[in-house]
Amino acid sequence: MKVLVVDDSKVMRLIVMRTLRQAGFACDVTEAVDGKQALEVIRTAPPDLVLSDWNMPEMTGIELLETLRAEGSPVKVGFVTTEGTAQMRTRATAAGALFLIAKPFTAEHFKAALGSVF
Amino acid sequence: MTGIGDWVDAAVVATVAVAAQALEREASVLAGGEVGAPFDAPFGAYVPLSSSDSAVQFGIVAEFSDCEGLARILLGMGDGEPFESEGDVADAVGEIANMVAGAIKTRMNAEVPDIVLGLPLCVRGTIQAQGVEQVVTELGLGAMRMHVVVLRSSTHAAKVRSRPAL
Repeated sequence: MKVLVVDDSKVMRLIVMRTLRQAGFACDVTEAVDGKQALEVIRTAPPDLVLSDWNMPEMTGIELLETLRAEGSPVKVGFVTTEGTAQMRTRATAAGALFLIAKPFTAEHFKAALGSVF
Repeated sequence: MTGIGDWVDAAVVATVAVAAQALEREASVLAGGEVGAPFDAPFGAYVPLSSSDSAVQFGIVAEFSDCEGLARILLGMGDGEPFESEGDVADAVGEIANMVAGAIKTRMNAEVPDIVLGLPLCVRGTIQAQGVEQVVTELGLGAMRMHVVVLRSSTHAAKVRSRPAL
Protein backbone atom coordinates (compact mmCIF):
# COMPACT_ATOMS: atom_id res chain seq x y z
CA MET A 1 0.00 0.00 0.00
CA LYS A 2 1.21 3.50 -0.89
CA VAL A 3 0.82 6.08 1.88
CA LEU A 4 1.44 9.82 1.63
CA VAL A 5 2.33 11.43 4.98
CA VAL A 6 1.67 15.18 5.02
CA ASP A 7 3.01 17.32 7.85
CA ASP A 8 5.04 20.52 8.01
CA SER A 9 7.06 18.98 10.84
CA LYS A 10 9.82 16.60 9.75
CA VAL A 11 9.85 15.18 13.27
CA MET A 12 6.16 14.38 13.13
CA ARG A 13 6.46 12.78 9.70
CA LEU A 14 9.16 10.51 11.14
CA ILE A 15 6.97 9.66 14.13
CA VAL A 16 3.97 8.88 11.91
CA MET A 17 6.12 6.58 9.75
CA ARG A 18 7.57 4.90 12.85
CA THR A 19 4.08 4.40 14.27
CA LEU A 20 2.89 2.84 11.01
CA ARG A 21 5.70 0.29 11.35
CA GLN A 22 4.98 -0.28 15.04
CA ALA A 23 1.32 -0.87 14.19
CA GLY A 24 2.37 -3.54 11.71
CA PHE A 25 1.38 -1.75 8.53
CA ALA A 26 3.77 -2.45 5.68
CA CYS A 27 3.64 0.41 3.21
CA ASP A 28 5.59 2.51 0.76
CA VAL A 29 5.67 6.00 2.25
CA THR A 30 6.16 9.30 0.50
CA GLU A 31 6.18 12.67 2.25
CA ALA A 32 4.85 16.18 1.68
CA VAL A 33 5.43 19.26 3.80
CA ASP A 34 2.03 20.91 3.35
CA GLY A 35 -1.29 20.57 1.58
CA LYS A 36 -0.10 22.33 -1.54
CA GLN A 37 2.81 19.96 -2.08
CA ALA A 38 0.57 17.01 -1.22
CA LEU A 39 -1.93 18.08 -3.85
CA GLU A 40 0.79 18.04 -6.51
CA VAL A 41 1.94 14.58 -5.41
CA ILE A 42 -1.61 13.18 -5.40
CA ARG A 43 -2.40 14.62 -8.84
CA THR A 44 0.77 13.04 -10.25
CA ALA A 45 0.76 9.68 -8.47
CA PRO A 46 -2.29 9.07 -6.28
CA PRO A 47 -1.45 7.06 -3.15
CA ASP A 48 -3.79 4.52 -1.57
CA LEU A 49 -4.04 6.58 1.60
CA VAL A 50 -3.19 10.12 2.71
CA LEU A 51 -2.33 10.73 6.37
CA SER A 52 -2.44 14.48 6.81
CA ASP A 53 -1.87 17.02 9.53
CA TRP A 54 -4.60 19.66 9.78
CA ASN A 55 -2.84 22.90 10.61
CA MET A 56 -0.11 23.63 8.05
CA PRO A 57 1.20 26.62 6.11
CA GLU A 58 0.30 27.19 2.44
CA MET A 59 -2.67 24.78 2.46
CA THR A 60 -4.24 23.14 5.50
CA GLY A 61 -5.25 19.52 5.65
CA ILE A 62 -8.96 20.24 5.42
CA GLU A 63 -8.38 22.54 2.45
CA LEU A 64 -6.44 19.72 0.82
CA LEU A 65 -9.30 17.27 1.34
CA GLU A 66 -11.94 19.73 0.13
CA THR A 67 -9.88 20.50 -2.97
CA LEU A 68 -9.43 16.81 -3.71
CA ARG A 69 -13.14 16.12 -3.43
CA ALA A 70 -13.99 19.16 -5.55
CA GLU A 71 -11.69 17.71 -8.24
CA GLY A 72 -13.45 14.36 -7.97
CA SER A 73 -10.54 12.54 -6.37
CA PRO A 74 -11.65 9.49 -4.36
CA VAL A 75 -8.29 9.09 -2.58
CA LYS A 76 -8.67 7.94 1.02
CA VAL A 77 -7.74 10.62 3.56
CA GLY A 78 -7.31 10.50 7.33
CA PHE A 79 -6.14 13.25 9.66
CA VAL A 80 -3.39 13.02 12.26
CA THR A 81 -3.64 16.26 14.14
CA THR A 82 -3.17 18.02 17.46
CA GLU A 83 -6.78 19.13 17.47
CA GLY A 84 -9.47 16.62 18.20
CA THR A 85 -12.53 18.66 19.11
CA ALA A 86 -15.99 17.41 18.20
CA GLN A 87 -16.41 20.29 15.74
CA MET A 88 -13.26 19.33 13.86
CA ARG A 89 -14.21 15.66 13.78
CA THR A 90 -17.62 16.63 12.37
CA ARG A 91 -16.04 18.87 9.75
CA ALA A 92 -13.52 16.19 8.79
CA THR A 93 -16.21 13.54 8.41
CA ALA A 94 -18.45 15.89 6.42
CA ALA A 95 -15.59 16.60 4.04
CA GLY A 96 -15.04 12.90 3.48
CA ALA A 97 -12.23 11.97 5.88
CA LEU A 98 -12.10 8.36 7.04
CA PHE A 99 -10.84 9.16 10.53
CA LEU A 100 -9.15 11.74 12.73
CA ILE A 101 -6.35 10.61 15.03
CA ALA A 102 -5.48 13.13 17.72
CA LYS A 103 -1.86 13.67 18.75
CA PRO A 104 -0.32 12.30 20.85
CA PHE A 105 -1.12 8.86 19.51
CA THR A 106 0.03 5.29 19.91
CA ALA A 107 0.37 2.32 17.58
CA GLU A 108 -2.92 1.08 19.03
CA HIS A 109 -4.67 4.25 17.84
CA PHE A 110 -3.26 3.62 14.35
CA LYS A 111 -4.38 -0.01 14.39
CA ALA A 112 -7.90 0.99 15.38
CA ALA A 113 -8.21 3.77 12.80
CA LEU A 114 -6.36 2.21 9.87
CA GLY A 115 -7.29 -1.42 10.35
CA SER A 116 -10.15 -1.29 7.89
CA VAL A 117 -8.10 0.61 5.30
CA PHE A 118 -5.21 -1.86 5.00
CA MET B 1 -14.65 35.73 29.93
CA THR B 2 -11.75 33.59 31.04
CA GLY B 3 -8.84 34.62 33.24
CA ILE B 4 -5.21 33.74 32.83
CA GLY B 5 -5.58 31.23 35.67
CA ASP B 6 -7.97 29.18 33.53
CA TRP B 7 -5.38 29.01 30.75
CA VAL B 8 -2.51 28.21 33.13
CA ASP B 9 -4.48 25.39 34.74
CA ALA B 10 -5.35 23.96 31.33
CA ALA B 11 -1.75 24.36 30.12
CA VAL B 12 -0.22 22.56 33.10
CA VAL B 13 -2.73 19.69 33.00
CA ALA B 14 -2.31 19.37 29.23
CA THR B 15 1.50 19.39 29.50
CA VAL B 16 1.46 16.67 32.14
CA ALA B 17 -0.91 14.61 29.95
CA VAL B 18 1.21 15.02 26.80
CA ALA B 19 4.36 14.16 28.77
CA ALA B 20 2.71 10.95 29.92
CA GLN B 21 1.31 9.99 26.51
CA ALA B 22 3.88 11.22 23.98
CA LEU B 23 7.04 11.10 26.09
CA GLU B 24 6.03 8.37 28.53
CA ARG B 25 7.40 10.46 31.39
CA GLU B 26 5.81 11.71 34.58
CA ALA B 27 5.90 15.50 34.79
CA SER B 28 5.46 17.32 38.07
CA VAL B 29 5.10 20.96 39.00
CA LEU B 30 8.22 22.27 40.75
CA ALA B 31 7.51 25.97 41.07
CA GLY B 32 5.77 28.92 39.57
CA GLY B 33 2.26 30.08 39.01
CA GLU B 34 2.96 33.70 39.92
CA VAL B 35 1.79 36.37 37.52
CA GLY B 36 4.71 38.26 36.01
CA ALA B 37 7.44 36.19 37.67
CA PRO B 38 10.69 36.41 35.68
CA PHE B 39 12.32 33.33 34.21
CA ASP B 40 15.40 32.47 32.24
CA ALA B 41 15.15 29.67 29.71
CA PRO B 42 16.86 30.24 26.39
CA PHE B 43 15.22 27.80 23.97
CA GLY B 44 11.71 26.67 23.18
CA ALA B 45 8.55 27.04 21.16
CA TYR B 46 5.35 29.06 21.38
CA VAL B 47 1.94 28.36 19.86
CA PRO B 48 -0.75 31.07 19.56
CA LEU B 49 -4.33 30.33 20.62
CA SER B 50 -6.58 33.07 19.30
CA SER B 51 -10.27 33.49 20.09
CA SER B 52 -12.97 36.08 20.64
CA ASP B 53 -12.19 35.70 24.35
CA SER B 54 -8.48 36.42 24.39
CA ALA B 55 -5.15 36.17 22.63
CA VAL B 56 -2.98 33.55 24.31
CA GLN B 57 0.55 32.38 23.61
CA PHE B 58 1.49 29.02 25.09
CA GLY B 59 5.16 28.16 25.30
CA ILE B 60 7.48 25.40 26.41
CA VAL B 61 10.98 26.73 27.08
CA ALA B 62 14.05 25.24 28.70
CA GLU B 63 17.81 25.04 28.61
CA PHE B 64 18.92 23.79 25.20
CA SER B 65 20.30 20.57 26.69
CA ASP B 66 16.89 19.82 28.20
CA CYS B 67 15.21 20.60 24.87
CA GLU B 68 17.59 18.09 23.28
CA GLY B 69 16.54 15.59 25.93
CA LEU B 70 12.84 16.14 25.17
CA ALA B 71 13.51 15.79 21.45
CA ARG B 72 15.46 12.55 21.92
CA ILE B 73 12.60 11.03 23.91
CA LEU B 74 10.01 12.10 21.32
CA LEU B 75 12.10 10.67 18.49
CA GLY B 76 13.09 7.51 20.34
CA MET B 77 16.80 8.38 20.17
CA GLY B 78 19.47 7.15 22.57
CA ASP B 79 21.13 9.32 25.22
CA GLY B 80 23.72 11.55 23.63
CA GLU B 81 22.76 10.54 20.11
CA PRO B 82 23.50 13.56 17.89
CA PHE B 83 20.93 15.50 15.88
CA GLU B 84 21.36 16.32 12.22
CA SER B 85 20.82 19.98 13.07
CA GLU B 86 19.54 22.32 15.77
CA GLY B 87 16.46 22.63 13.59
CA ASP B 88 15.47 19.07 14.47
CA VAL B 89 15.47 19.99 18.16
CA ALA B 90 13.39 23.08 17.44
CA ASP B 91 11.01 21.03 15.30
CA ALA B 92 10.57 18.44 18.06
CA VAL B 93 10.00 21.00 20.82
CA GLY B 94 7.59 22.80 18.48
CA GLU B 95 5.64 19.59 18.01
CA ILE B 96 5.50 18.99 21.77
CA ALA B 97 4.20 22.54 22.24
CA ASN B 98 1.78 21.95 19.37
CA MET B 99 0.39 18.80 20.99
CA VAL B 100 -0.05 20.58 24.31
CA ALA B 101 -1.75 23.52 22.58
CA GLY B 102 -4.19 21.10 20.96
CA ALA B 103 -4.93 19.58 24.35
CA ILE B 104 -5.43 23.07 25.82
CA LYS B 105 -7.91 23.84 23.05
CA THR B 106 -9.82 20.65 23.81
CA ARG B 107 -9.88 21.44 27.55
CA MET B 108 -10.97 25.06 27.03
CA ASN B 109 -13.44 24.25 24.24
CA ALA B 110 -16.54 24.35 26.45
CA GLU B 111 -15.75 27.86 27.72
CA VAL B 112 -14.15 29.20 24.55
CA PRO B 113 -15.50 27.35 21.50
CA ASP B 114 -13.82 29.47 18.83
CA ILE B 115 -10.14 28.93 19.61
CA VAL B 116 -7.91 28.89 16.53
CA LEU B 117 -4.42 27.41 16.84
CA GLY B 118 -1.54 28.99 15.00
CA LEU B 119 1.68 27.35 13.93
CA PRO B 120 4.53 26.77 16.40
CA LEU B 121 7.19 29.47 16.56
CA CYS B 122 10.58 28.33 17.87
CA VAL B 123 12.69 30.84 19.76
CA ARG B 124 16.23 31.14 21.03
CA GLY B 125 16.49 33.71 23.79
CA THR B 126 13.94 35.17 26.15
CA ILE B 127 11.00 36.99 24.63
CA GLN B 128 10.06 40.38 26.06
CA ALA B 129 6.32 40.29 26.67
CA GLN B 130 4.94 43.76 27.30
CA GLY B 131 1.38 44.72 28.04
CA VAL B 132 0.28 41.15 28.57
CA GLU B 133 -0.21 38.90 31.58
CA GLN B 134 2.46 36.25 31.95
CA VAL B 135 2.56 33.17 34.15
CA VAL B 136 5.46 30.72 34.16
CA THR B 137 5.30 27.28 35.76
CA GLU B 138 8.39 25.11 36.12
CA LEU B 139 7.90 21.41 35.52
CA GLY B 140 10.29 18.55 36.07
CA LEU B 141 10.58 15.45 33.89
CA GLY B 142 13.10 13.30 35.65
CA ALA B 143 16.36 15.24 35.56
CA MET B 144 15.04 17.66 32.94
CA ARG B 145 13.42 21.00 33.70
CA MET B 146 11.09 22.97 31.48
CA HIS B 147 8.99 26.09 31.83
CA VAL B 148 5.37 26.23 30.77
CA VAL B 149 4.69 29.83 29.77
CA VAL B 150 1.26 31.38 29.29
CA LEU B 151 0.96 34.91 27.92
CA ARG B 152 -2.52 36.40 27.69
CA SER B 153 -4.12 39.62 26.59
CA SER B 154 -7.74 40.40 25.89
CA THR B 155 -8.62 40.13 22.22
CA HIS B 156 -9.64 43.79 22.28
CA ALA B 157 -6.18 44.80 23.51
CA ALA B 158 -4.52 42.62 20.90
CA LYS B 159 -6.53 44.27 18.14
CA VAL B 160 -5.58 47.73 19.37
CA ARG B 161 -1.88 46.84 19.33
CA SER B 162 -2.07 45.48 15.81
CA ARG B 163 -3.68 48.65 14.44
CA PRO B 164 -1.38 50.28 11.88
CA ALA B 165 0.29 53.53 12.87
CA LEU B 166 -1.36 56.65 11.49
